[in-house]
Amino acid sequence: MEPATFSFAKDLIAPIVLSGFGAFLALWVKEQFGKSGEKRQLRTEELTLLCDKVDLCRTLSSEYWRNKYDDKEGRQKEIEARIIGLFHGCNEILAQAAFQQLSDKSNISKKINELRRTVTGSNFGKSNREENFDKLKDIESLGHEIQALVVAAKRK
Amino acid sequence: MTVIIIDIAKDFSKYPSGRTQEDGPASGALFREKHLVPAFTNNDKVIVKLDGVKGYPSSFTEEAFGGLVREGFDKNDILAKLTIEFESNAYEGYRDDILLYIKDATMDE
Repeated sequence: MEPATFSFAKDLIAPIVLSGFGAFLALWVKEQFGKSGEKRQLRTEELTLLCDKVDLCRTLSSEYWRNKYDDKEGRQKEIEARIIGLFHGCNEILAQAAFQQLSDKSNISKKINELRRTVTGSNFGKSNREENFDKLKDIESLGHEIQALVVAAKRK
Repeated sequence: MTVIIIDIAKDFSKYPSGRTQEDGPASGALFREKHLVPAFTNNDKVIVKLDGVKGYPSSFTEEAFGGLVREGFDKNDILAKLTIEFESNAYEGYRDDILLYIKDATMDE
């Protein structure tokens, strides 16, 4: 049996280095999880905001295409500006960095643009618009479809 | 080669809206007549910048760009000359709309 020998490098330095590396690794992992948690929280908040905006787009758009407004009061121009701004707001949210990794982004974005084309196309902006039941049906259906997509993205 | 840059927010309006001039002071028809027709007639390349506007209604973009085809401009010629630029990705959808409206427009509408 060989007598136990003390090695400075093996018995003193190695454990210190290893424990230091372990502590660094733990801190790094914690930081990465923290960053990813913050990103996730931010994305969830933005998705909630997007869901609210889509809901408002759907409601206002349906109201717009169901009614005729008195031009003298400027109500029509006011509601048109709000609708255009809301759709642009949806696009701005989706253009943010937090959404670049979201797998459903392209699908949500495509549907929002489809809804925007449905709402702000044809006679949008004209005072002699006719009530259009097909358009109203499309607005409601697309609006709910987008909200369902956003809610599903939030759960991921 | 002649190139023209049209910055919609600076050169036309920050609030483009409506199809024809009776729909408002910044309609698609007015933008087409005032900017697009001269630009496509006199230049080899037309750059349209979309930034700075808080949203484009489809009636405006369809009337402005689809209307070029209805006025007799060749859609392949328009597509070859046109470059749409923007800094924010929020404008991607409007670019897609414009290209779609040019491709879908027909002379007999």
